[in-house]
Amino acid sequence: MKQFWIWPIALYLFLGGLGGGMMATAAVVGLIIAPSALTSGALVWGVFIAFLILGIGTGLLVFELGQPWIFYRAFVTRTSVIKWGAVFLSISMIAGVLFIFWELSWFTFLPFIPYEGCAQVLLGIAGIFGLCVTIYTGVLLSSMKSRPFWNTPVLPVLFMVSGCSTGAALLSMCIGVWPFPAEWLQVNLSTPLAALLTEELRHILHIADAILIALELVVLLLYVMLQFCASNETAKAHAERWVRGEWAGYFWGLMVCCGLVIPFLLNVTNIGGYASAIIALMGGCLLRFMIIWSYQRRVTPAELKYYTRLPQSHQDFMDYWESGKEYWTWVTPTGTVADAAPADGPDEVFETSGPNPAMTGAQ
Amino acid sequence: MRDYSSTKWLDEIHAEGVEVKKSCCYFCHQNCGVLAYVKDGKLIYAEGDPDHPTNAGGLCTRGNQAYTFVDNPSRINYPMKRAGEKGENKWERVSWDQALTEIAAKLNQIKEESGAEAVAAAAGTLRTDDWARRRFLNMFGTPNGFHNALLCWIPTFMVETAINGWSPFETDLGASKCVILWGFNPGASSMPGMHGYTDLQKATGMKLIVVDPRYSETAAHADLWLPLRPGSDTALSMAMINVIMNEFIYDMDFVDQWCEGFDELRDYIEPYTPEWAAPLTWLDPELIRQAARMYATNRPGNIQWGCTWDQLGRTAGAGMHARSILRAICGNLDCPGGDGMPGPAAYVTDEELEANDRLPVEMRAKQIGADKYKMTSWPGYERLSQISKDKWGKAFTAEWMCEAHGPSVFKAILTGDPYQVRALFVSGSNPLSSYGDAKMVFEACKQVEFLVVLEYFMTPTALMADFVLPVAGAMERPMVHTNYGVTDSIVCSERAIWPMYERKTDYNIWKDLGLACGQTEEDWPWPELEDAYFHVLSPLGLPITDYNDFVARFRMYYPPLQYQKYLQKGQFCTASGKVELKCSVFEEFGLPAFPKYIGPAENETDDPEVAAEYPIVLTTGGGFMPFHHSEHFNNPIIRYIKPDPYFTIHPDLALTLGIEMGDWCWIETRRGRIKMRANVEPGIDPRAVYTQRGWWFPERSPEGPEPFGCLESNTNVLTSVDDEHCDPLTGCWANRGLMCKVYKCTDIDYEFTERDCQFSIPGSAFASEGPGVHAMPSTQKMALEFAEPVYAQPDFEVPEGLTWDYRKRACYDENGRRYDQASGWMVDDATGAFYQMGTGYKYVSYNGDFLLDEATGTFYDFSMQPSEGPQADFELPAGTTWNPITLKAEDDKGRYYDKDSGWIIDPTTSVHYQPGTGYRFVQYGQGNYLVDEANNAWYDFSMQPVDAPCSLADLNVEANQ
Amino acid sequence: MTRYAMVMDQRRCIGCSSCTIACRTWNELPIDIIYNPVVSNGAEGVWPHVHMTFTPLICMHCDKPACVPACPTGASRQDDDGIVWVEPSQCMGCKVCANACPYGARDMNEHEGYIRKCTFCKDRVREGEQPFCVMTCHQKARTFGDLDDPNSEVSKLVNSYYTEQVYPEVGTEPMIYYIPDLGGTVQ
Repeated sequence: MKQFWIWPIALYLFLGGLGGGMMATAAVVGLIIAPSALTSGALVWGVFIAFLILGIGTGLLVFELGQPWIFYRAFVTRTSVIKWGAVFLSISMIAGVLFIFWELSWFTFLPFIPYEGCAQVLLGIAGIFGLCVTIYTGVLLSSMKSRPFWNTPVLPVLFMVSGCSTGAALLSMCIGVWPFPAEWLQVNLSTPLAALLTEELRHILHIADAILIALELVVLLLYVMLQFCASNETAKAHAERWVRGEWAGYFWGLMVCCGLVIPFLLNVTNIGGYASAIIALMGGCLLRFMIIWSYQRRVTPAELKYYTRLPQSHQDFMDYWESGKEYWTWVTPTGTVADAAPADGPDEVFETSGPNPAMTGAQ
Repeated sequence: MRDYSSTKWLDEIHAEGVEVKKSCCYFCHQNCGVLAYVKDGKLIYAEGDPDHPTNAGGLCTRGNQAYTFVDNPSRINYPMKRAGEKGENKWERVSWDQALTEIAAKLNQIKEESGAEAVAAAAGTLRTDDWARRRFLNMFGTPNGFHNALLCWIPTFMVETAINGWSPFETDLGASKCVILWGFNPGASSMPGMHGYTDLQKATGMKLIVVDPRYSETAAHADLWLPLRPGSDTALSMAMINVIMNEFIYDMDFVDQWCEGFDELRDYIEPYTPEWAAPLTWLDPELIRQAARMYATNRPGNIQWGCTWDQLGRTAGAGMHARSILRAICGNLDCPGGDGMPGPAAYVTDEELEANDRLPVEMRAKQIGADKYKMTSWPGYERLSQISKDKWGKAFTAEWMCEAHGPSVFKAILTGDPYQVRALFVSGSNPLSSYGDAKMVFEACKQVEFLVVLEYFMTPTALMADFVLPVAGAMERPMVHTNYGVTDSIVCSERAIWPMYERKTDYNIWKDLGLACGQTEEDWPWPELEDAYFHVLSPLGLPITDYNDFVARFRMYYPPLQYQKYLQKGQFCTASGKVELKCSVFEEFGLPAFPKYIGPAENETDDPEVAAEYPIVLTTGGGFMPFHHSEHFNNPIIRYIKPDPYFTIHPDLALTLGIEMGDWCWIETRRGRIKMRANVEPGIDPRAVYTQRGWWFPERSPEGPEPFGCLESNTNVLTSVDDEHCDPLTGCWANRGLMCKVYKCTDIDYEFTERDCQFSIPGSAFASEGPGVHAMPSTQKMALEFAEPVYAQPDFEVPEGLTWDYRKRACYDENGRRYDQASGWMVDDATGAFYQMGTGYKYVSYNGDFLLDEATGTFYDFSMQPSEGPQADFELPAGTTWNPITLKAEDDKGRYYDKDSGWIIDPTTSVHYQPGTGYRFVQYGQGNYLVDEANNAWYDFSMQPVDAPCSLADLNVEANQ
Repeated sequence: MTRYAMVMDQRRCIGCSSCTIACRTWNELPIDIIYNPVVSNGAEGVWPHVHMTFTPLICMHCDKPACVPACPTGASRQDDDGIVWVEPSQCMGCKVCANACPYGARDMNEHEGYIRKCTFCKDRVREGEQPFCVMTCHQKARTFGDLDDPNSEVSKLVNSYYTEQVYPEVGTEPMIYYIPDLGGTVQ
């Protein structure tokens, strides 16, 4: 059974969720939890990283296309999921980058620069569409009726929560990291006030992350366990593989324990710092890979038998037949090895062995 | 960018200047019609011909790939001469002239030193113009041509011809009520046939009985399926005869009138009950009874030939005999809905093209295997073709039907027994995939002094060659389809394109080689195959100008269908004129007159110690889609859907052996072992496994002990060609019913090693005695000892002075005249004249009855009084005298008077003269004239002088032409 | 209206793979793309009471295809006669449709970067010819035609035989109908 989507898409889904989640959590923190100019300033770097991550994710997506130079065609239809994903991504990224420009006052020289609250509006737009991106990554997969393990409404929820939790984790790492000259900002982050703010924001994010991780754990278990109840054998087989099968170690050890439980504990106790964020990110990444690798279409046993017997995994076999390899070695009369085809090519020779004159006469 | 949403072909094949040629596919024996689209001499595309009777537009995997083979990078396009060591795969491109000259020189040298019989020739199946090869070999003087014919129909043909007078192979399915497909899986081997069965089952309620140890594509559609032990077909057929005899459901009228030896058969077959057969065949006796009843009571019925019969090894001949009996006692011979015997064709048959009379008679005895396997070599062929010529007027082909025993030739290469074979031709075949005991064949190909291969692709065999010659493929040659030259119909296909590059048709290669060897242009009168086939068609008297014209306008020729030709002829074309259930020709060769049951090559009953070591029954050799023999393994498009070799094993057996679906396993017999993957499914008996055949891996390296992986999964490593396993009648060897063991490949025992490539003679000694030659072939025992020959004896007292000729079943005197028992006279069969016994006087009936003493020209009447002899019953014209011996009125110039037309005729020139005047009758232009030759005067019929329209000299020239 | 459909008579199919190869040849498919697999479980049952059926698979040319709405570029499209096909010049190769198809009928042409799928030989069909796989089938197991025409062969078969579809519950309304082989071997 052919796997159409491999690591670039898995990474793209992860980065899309991560970037979108960062945008969303940044917006929630900057606009709802701690709405202040200071907060906004502290979020600039986080939004920039989110923008970069979305950019890399989009880059991967485009890189993975068969004909990348016509990627723009993704915008021409009305209904497809991927089209809406592309729109959300674009808006979120554009709003995010504009937010940075506004926050850094790069456009203050322009006469028609709008009023002060503009940065907040842009952050809000970036956040909303960022959230949409996290949901879209799930919807993209869950809309595939043909892939039983994906085709469940829990998946968008899972991806949204996971995106936001990983987003919060990475955002917490970005708070307080500020390599730009201080005078570009209205506040100096090296002041005690700023340090306090940084610490406070990180704490808020850790708490938020902990809540999101807890939620994610619930949704994840719900997602996997519900597959056991699915009527479909393929979905059941996948759930089996995750929970009890060959991937159980990754699932329970890496994803659930390292990716969710430990970060949760570290966040709750607020001792984890970067470590909790990093393992949470790894957990999120692993989730996307495991889901993408659970791509199997539902098939009849006959189909499975047919496809497993094809030489798709026999790379040597494929290489040989695709290489146009020479079948034998020509040795010229002098003993040196010549190219496979002799000098007088097929066309000349072909003409010389035309129809026998006797026969053409008879016709 | 190519727009793949619409395919290019449709536009291209309908473009301007594209010719459509009626060509054919030749990747199996069906020869499905193909429409080849040709532009500027190049093939663009080929697709099924909707108007062809065989396939009606359909094509199988192979046919669909046919056009890609025409110009394929893996094809051999130029004559190649070995440049490195044997098998090193280094080649020098040489010209045809050089290749043929060097080959001819070597052949002539061998002929001079060791005799022509030291040159042998192997071939594949209908990839070649076989009659041309035979013609070459006959003229060269060697009897040692052979094919893989013994595994494919030829034993069947010869045995059935001995019994029935011609093999009843043409099934008339339309009116049939029951068909037995016996060891025949058209679902995999001959696609176009298959839908016919399914259609008929639905349309006419025809019963379909399938005999096959595997649950196959065909068995899936059967009304009754007999899953017998592989190789036990003979036991089954004998038990079926027993049932039909005991239940009196045979065709009594037919048996009474047309069968010889029926009463003896009744006693003979008595012990062979279904209960006897049950343990041998693994079948429920009731099932055997059911099958026998179904076949015998649904008349007319058919038994379709299946390749299995020719691959049973030592039990084969008896099985074919038993099957013939089944058919005969149910009266299914040559009747509507039965198995038809077409007889020889009206057109020029292959046999007439083969120039068999050019082979010196003493060479016939030197044919390898002729002393052991008589029915398919010169002794049997000579006998049966003589009967056939006597009774049908023509014989069947010698190519295929009369050949050296292939495995024995390979053994002769390795052992020099009975004599050293020094040169081997291989055309269109990879013997080490297709002949039994592949390891031995491979060694023979390596060791033979001079190997010339005519090939399409670089095969493992071609790798060992001294010369590889490029052969034209399917659409590069005209093809005629005549069922090995033994049927009376013909289907022709034209050449779509002329051979590309420097390829040649086999015909041209053999012809050119013949000329290079010193044969003459008269020996090869046809420049191209089209000319030869035009010659073939000429006796049909069709209004055609050449071969391609025939293809374009007729394409095929089917003579009017004649049922029950034996009624018209008054006899079957056998030695006795009846269907010989008790076969006299077999008796003449010391072979059993009734089917003598011998168990399969290796079996649990006869060889318990073998069965203890090798407990599983092995069946090999069944075809499987999409490959045909060892072909198409090098076609990536086809190969992609079947990349690995599989053997089929029952889940229960697999469970016992710890084998799971897809595991690589070793399959081992006494002769060696191979690797295949397990296909675990319940479609086969738990006591048996089935291996696919023909496997080699062109994608692998040509180096190492087994180039291209030619032995690793080659099922013929497992098969046996030991003399004791070959059929004593026909020499076919055992592909079915062998004993093997199966075990999983482990990490330490995974590679196919050099030891696995070593051969032994006899092959079955490999496991016990190791590799090497342990015994000379001539010391090997056969499965059956020859009995004393039994010749047909006269059923009347032979008159004094006459000798009994068992071959013709008649008495002859020293003049070659036959004694006609009914009249008591001697008959000259050539003229039909009767002679009196004792005196030898000829009987003349003209105006009374007379006896003529031809020595003196004296006439006698029946009371032996000299008489004037017969007198003219008409008035003699002037100038003529009555000759009572020729019974004609003759003049002094040797002309005679024809009383019906009233003219005098010159018998040498057929010119008519007017009685009385002696004027010659001339028809010139629109006019009729009388010419006084003496005076050169011309008259019309009213005797008025006219001007001469031409000179007499011109007339004589014309007359002489 | 014309609505093209195909009927696969599994009573006739013997799994020879001719259609697979014919299609690969006619469409010049890359080595690893198969439009027309013929799948089978092999023999099933308990020896010697076994049966075997073959299922020729192909793009179902669904009435409500899952692939077409999934396509973000509009390269995947369905014509009025129901034929679902891909315009290569517009396909950016995102493979969403290949993932969306419940039948595995779409495959990526890795060398040229766009999706390939069965077109029902629309160029042939619109010239009045049969699709190539139908023409090549020796067993006449495939019947192609207009389902909306009550006199067409497919319409007769679909309406007068018991037919099955593959995964009808997905809701794509596939246009390939199967006449299953219900009979076994009489033992």
